Amino acid sequence: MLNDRLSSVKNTNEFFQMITEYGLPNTYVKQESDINNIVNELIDGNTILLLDKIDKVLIVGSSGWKDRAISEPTSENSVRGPKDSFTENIENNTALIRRHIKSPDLRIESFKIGTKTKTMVSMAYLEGVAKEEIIEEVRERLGRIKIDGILESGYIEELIEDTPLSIFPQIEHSERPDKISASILEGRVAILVDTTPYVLIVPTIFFQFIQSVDDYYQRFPIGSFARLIRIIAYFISLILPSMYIALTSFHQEMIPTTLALAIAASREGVPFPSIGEAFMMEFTFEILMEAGLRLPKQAGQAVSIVGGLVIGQAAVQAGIVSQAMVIVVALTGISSFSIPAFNASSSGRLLRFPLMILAAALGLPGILAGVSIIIIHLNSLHSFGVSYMEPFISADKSIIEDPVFRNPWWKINRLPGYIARKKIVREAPNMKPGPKSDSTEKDDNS
Amino acid sequence: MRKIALGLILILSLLQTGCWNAREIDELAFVLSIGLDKTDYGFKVTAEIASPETYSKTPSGSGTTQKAKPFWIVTSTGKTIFEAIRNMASISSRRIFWSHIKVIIISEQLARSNTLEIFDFFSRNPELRLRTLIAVTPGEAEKVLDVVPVMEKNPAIYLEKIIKNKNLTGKSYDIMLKDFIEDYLDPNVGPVTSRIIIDKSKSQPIVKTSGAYVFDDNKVSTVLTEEQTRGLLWIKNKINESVIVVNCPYDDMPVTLEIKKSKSSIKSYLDGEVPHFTINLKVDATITEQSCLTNFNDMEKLSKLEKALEKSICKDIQSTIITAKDINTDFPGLSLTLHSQHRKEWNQISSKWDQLFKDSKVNIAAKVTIHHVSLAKPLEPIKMQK
Repeated sequence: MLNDRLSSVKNTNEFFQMITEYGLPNTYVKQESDINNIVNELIDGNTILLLDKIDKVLIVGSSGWKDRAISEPTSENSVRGPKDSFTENIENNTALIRRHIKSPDLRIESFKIGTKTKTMVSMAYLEGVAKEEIIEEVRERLGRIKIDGILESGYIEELIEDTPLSIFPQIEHSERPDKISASILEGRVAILVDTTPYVLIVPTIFFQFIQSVDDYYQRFPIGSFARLIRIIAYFISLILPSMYIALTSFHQEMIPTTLALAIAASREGVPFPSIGEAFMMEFTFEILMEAGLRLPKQAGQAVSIVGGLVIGQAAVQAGIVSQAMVIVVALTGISSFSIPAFNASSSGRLLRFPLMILAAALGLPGILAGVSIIIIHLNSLHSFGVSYMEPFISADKSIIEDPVFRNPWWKINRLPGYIARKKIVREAPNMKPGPKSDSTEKDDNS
Repeated sequence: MRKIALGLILILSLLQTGCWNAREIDELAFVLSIGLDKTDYGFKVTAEIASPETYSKTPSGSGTTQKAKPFWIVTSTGKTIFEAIRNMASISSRRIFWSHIKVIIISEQLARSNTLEIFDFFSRNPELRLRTLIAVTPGEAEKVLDVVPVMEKNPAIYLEKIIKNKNLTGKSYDIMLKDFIEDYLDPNVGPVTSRIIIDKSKSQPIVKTSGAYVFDDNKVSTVLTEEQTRGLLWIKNKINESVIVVNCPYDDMPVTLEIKKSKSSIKSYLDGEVPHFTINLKVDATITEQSCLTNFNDMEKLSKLEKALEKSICKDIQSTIITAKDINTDFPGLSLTLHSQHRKEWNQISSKWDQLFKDSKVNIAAKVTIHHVSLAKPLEPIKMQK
């Protein structure tokens, strides 16, 4: 067939045209004449076809990066649910999302950000569900970025945040396709970044960090109960050490008598005041946590023995710290790990130090002041136009429906109004399941 | 730049407070109960301090074989109470900490002289809890604190629990400092406190609660016997789960009845200037033990037993009211009822309350319902069955 066409070609230009249209039928071809674009395409891994006497080139799509196989997510494990996670290839990731959302309304807009890295960054959203203002805002902020390299989605996160100086994260990230697809369905915008499996989700509210995908796959009593426990755990990790300091140093009358005597007994002979002891133990715990992240496998056993035995047991028996303090530190640490998002639990862990200082200086009024400042700050945060403490700000029905108690799947029929356009119905009404009523059974039999 | 400077100044100024009034928990001496006695030139205060070592379950450091005593009694004297307490600091190495006091014991000798100073001190001290129990003892308060408790770790917890057990016996009274001071300040009502005695009949002295003391005009005036205390409990609606023994209406064998629920209300009206009170009692009881052979499943016999219990209740309350009138102290709190139910008239006659109380008439109407006879037939001795 090519021979037939060859015979009809009269000059080089027509030859070039013919190759473009019929020469490489299975691949993506494009004609290009701008030298910058040609170089970019070459760096992208495509092939350049140059023809003598033609001032245009043919770019043939041939980029195939070596990719990691799809494996289990490393940081967000779930008991029930799909176990695939994103990889470092953005085209792979886009394909994974498209497998969940097969609607033509799913739009993906791409940018190349980073003058030297030219990393491909894509925005994914559902047209008609996500709010126009949010989509526009994301587009505008991504376009504003001028930096030499983007190596991870964390760079983008810090460059487009509303309040970069705050401890609380205002953008969520995830490496699970099901979580990203669920967010897109709710009307959020996902930002995929090449060379990293972590995808950003905007806009974000504080209570998203307390939720985990498992809550939605298990039945709703389990999900609601788990969320309640996580909220309590967040508070414990924030204020337990400061409450311990305040109560045992300033307000001993508020502790029940036998508990006060037990704490006094455990502090017998300890040389440091309880304030110093608390700071020391908390710092030691933070050092242990940091070391644990970088444990080589061979040293893993030794370090855990060192951490547990030395600090826990031997220090108490030597009389350097008191047993009550070890319990407080352990409880705080475990509570901070029960929150699924690392960035949110880090905010709790970081904030407990200023609260401890306030408690050591002023007692319970100090903690009151500190927590008030935190609450005021939280209420002033925004994420792409949405208040950080939604739905408690707009105070509509969705307070009961989402952050803490999860409505069963047969009752969720509206999208959260602060994120998506209002009055979008997700589910038909009367979806509650149950056995068939008696009258219809009789009809079937007759 | 200015914002940062301002912020830093604010935060650093917070830290200028230093440790404010922080006290380490292991430099406090937890006082669990105090006893107040009268001496020739002032007061003697006995404090029972809990020793924390005995509260740790694991021995810290190398185990010592010597068992430490869980409490420590400290005595000191002074011209006033507060001076006596401060003098304790010369004996005790740790700062005396009042906030965990459970019981305050006052000796009768001290309570019969002027008690104004004691309660003034208690009201002013911010560390003292108003939920502390108050008791008066006929002997010396120091001896009560010296009694080694059998089951509890320290005498204070033991005392607190036996005072609070008034529910089960119905023969003693308990009162917290806050209620006591309320009654103390009212010129017409006399406060009542628990009474603790030391029973020396056994080889080891034991502490018991029995009866109550009535305060009149800032001093202890009378002792209430156990029946009168029970009458007082009926009036104040504090009887719950206690046990009353009445005689069976057909043969004079005792029957034990347990009070499950009781509700009392006092209605008053004024006839001219003479107040009339009606005390209404609605009581639910069950039979827990009987020695007579009557089968109380018969409604007629049951109603006779109910009447017997009503009579016994009325007798107790009457003896209380007669005692109150004799000593002319309104410790049952009838003036409070009159005040709340007839405020306008009360404002006019309150100055003459002493005289009016003597003339007032009190009616008692008790209604007892006995549920749960529990057995279909009372147990009979085997011989009679043949």
